[in-house]
Amino acid sequence: MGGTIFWGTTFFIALEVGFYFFVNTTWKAGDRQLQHLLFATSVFCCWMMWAIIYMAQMNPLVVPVLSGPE
Amino acid sequence: MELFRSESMQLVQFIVPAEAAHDTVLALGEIGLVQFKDMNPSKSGFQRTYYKQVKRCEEMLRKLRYFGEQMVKAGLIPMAQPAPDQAYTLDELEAKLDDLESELRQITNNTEKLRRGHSELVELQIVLEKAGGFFEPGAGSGSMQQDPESVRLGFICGVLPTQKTPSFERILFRATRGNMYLKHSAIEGKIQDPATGEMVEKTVYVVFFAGERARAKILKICEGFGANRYPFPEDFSRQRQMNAEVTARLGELQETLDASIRHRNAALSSIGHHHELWTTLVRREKAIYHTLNMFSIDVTRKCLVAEGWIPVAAKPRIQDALFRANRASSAQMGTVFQPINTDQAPPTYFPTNKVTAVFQGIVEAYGVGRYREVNPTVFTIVTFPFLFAVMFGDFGHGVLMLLAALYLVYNEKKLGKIRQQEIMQMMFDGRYCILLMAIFSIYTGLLYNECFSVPMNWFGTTKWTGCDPKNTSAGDQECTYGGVYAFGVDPIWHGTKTELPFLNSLKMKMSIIMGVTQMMLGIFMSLLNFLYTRDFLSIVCEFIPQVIFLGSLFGYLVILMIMKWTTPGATADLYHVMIYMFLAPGNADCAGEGANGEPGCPENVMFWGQGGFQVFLVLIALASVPVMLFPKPLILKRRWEARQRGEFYTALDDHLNVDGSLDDHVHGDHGFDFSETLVHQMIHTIEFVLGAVSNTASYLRLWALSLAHAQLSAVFWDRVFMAAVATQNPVAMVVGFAVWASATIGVLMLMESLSAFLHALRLHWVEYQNKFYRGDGYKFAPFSLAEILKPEASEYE
Repeated sequence: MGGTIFWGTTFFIALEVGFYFFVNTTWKAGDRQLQHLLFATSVFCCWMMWAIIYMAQMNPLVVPVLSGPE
Repeated sequence: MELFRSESMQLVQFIVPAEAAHDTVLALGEIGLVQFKDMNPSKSGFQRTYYKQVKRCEEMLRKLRYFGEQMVKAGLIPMAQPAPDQAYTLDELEAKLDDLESELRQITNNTEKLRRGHSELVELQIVLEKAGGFFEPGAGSGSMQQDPESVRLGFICGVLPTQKTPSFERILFRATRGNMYLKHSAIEGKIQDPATGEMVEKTVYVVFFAGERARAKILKICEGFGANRYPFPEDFSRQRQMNAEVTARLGELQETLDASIRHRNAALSSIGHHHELWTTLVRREKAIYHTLNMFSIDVTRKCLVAEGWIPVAAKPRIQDALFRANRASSAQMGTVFQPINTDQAPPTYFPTNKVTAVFQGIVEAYGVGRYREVNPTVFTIVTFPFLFAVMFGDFGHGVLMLLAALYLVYNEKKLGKIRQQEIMQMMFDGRYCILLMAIFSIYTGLLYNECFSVPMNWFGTTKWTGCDPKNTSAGDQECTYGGVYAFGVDPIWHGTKTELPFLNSLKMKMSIIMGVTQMMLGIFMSLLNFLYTRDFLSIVCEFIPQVIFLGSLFGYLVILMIMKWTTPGATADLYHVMIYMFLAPGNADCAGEGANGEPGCPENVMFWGQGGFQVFLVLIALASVPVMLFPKPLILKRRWEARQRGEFYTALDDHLNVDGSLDDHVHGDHGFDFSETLVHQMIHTIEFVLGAVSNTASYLRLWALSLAHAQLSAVFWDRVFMAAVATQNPVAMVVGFAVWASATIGVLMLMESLSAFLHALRLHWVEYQNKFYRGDGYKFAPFSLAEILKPEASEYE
């Protein structure tokens, strides 16, 4: 379980590394800082939300109850 | 990063030889990076040097507008000729416009006269036809012809607008006391009114009366009613003769009129070829002279002195332009261009591109940043669409929005040229914001596992076991935990009895975590401001206590939430922990409150030493409040007193205040009001301390909006579309789909997205920006010809 958090986080880090090179190849030097920051912020936001939703399901206190016939 | 802080600006002085002034301003206007200061603010418009030129330009613009109106009247579309055949100077153009105007006015007057004559003849012709009919029955009975001795009846005939006929008749009756006889007959169709040229419905009338006095009265009434009178010979042969004459004259007049209109249209269309070019030229000249009016004139009247703000980076371009303009006008002196030191606050200027402009606009709608303070826009570009998506998250809705945004972005060149309706224009301007909002909505929709509120199994089937959604006859089934769904919310939750308790707990905690993170980001942005201005006092007395206060209360709450999630079997009541942290900070497990003196809430202890740690947190949080409140005003006071005694001197840096602070009211040399500073600091502290609580609570809107969105789309899907499908009736299915689709577009895509947009806007303006953003600067408004000559700008002239 901790493994998924680790690998998921690794995935987002890899994504950011990918974006880093993407920005470096797409925009010319001296013009990239903003793009780097924007991609890093986006990846951070996405990672944070994924991690929150993942962690919230690790030790559920409520279990799904399927309602029967009414 | 140019967007992080506004461009460094420089106040510069230009000393321009008078003969080069015009060309210099033209060159600077083409660059569009100089904001000129008004050097003669006390002079009213007509006291200024170039008042006459501005007036002349306005006069020429008036003429051009007159030409434009005439072209619209004549139904011609002004068409610009691709290549201007000759370039006019302003004087030549003025003379030319003068000639053209008088020519056009003459032609128009002549045409107008001809048209009036023409429509009068038309009316006369109709009178001759109609009035003949009035007389024929009378002629048949022969009473007038047979007895010449009897009283001769006079008569007046003519044409008047049909709608005035009843009142005309009434007035005539009263004025003559009934001693008159009115006959009238409406003309079929509309005819042109000679006076106004409009097409109106008219009626031919004949009034018979007796006596000279009645005649005078009736003539006056006719005049009052705008009833045109026409001669009508009683003699039948003369009538025919006249009719023939009128017909012949009408033919001639029609030809002349046609020729005259052709002549006018030819003149207008030859103007039309140049109209746009000329208008641009005159508007440019007017703008230049208007700018020149802000310059002050040297006593010798040989050169003009101007001051203005420029971005430091644009200096070489401006210098180059000045040099070339000077050379081109072969002035005897060169233009002097020198920076001036000033303690005035420079304008704030962010060069934006088509993507960042909309976000800069969102931030500036709240307030234009102070010069060189950190710009919230940098993070807003991501966090704004992201927080929107947290509220709007749904895969299907995100895809719909993405399609709309892609359409706008893909066709931006085409759509950019057309002037849109106000709302469409707003959507078009915000197209890149919508694009990002859509992309993040798709992502959050995947995490919420909702596509039009239907769960997707894209990351595997549910991890929960022991229950089968298809087996509906088994009664309530509780599922058994079998692991965590790797990406997003487990699809099993949708439609279960426990869906809402689970999602509410998740989304509320998520809102708090995101809120605390964003507010911390805001506080660290203020650190960047303090570091930039080397304001170490504010770092110690504002930044550090703020971080401690927020961190020790809500940062601790966030850590507890994460601990509770990741600890197996943790059932701590976090509300209870937070509340009792203040009431009894050392007593984390409610010792002695349970039965037999046992701990009342042992489950609330999440880690060893929690009680002691909470005491520590509460103490540092409380201690940070006076640190925010008192030291800063006291130290500022001491510094000011020291300066008054002349103990130390500090170089007046051009953009920093003496004490290195950005605050205006502690300007060392403009006096120091201790009570004012203290009150300001108190307000600031109270705002932060109370705000820490209320702003954190405010982020719960993320949960509320997201819940509302999910529930609304679930209602539309289950109650409308699925209910219609369940009927198995094709017609009901089509109707159900139509209702569902229009509700999705109208309610969810338009109204819900607008509400999520506004809430995201508020979270950025208030909760995020009040941590660091002063927003009391003023925007750089350069003199830019490109901006002035934009087509839409002409509407505001």
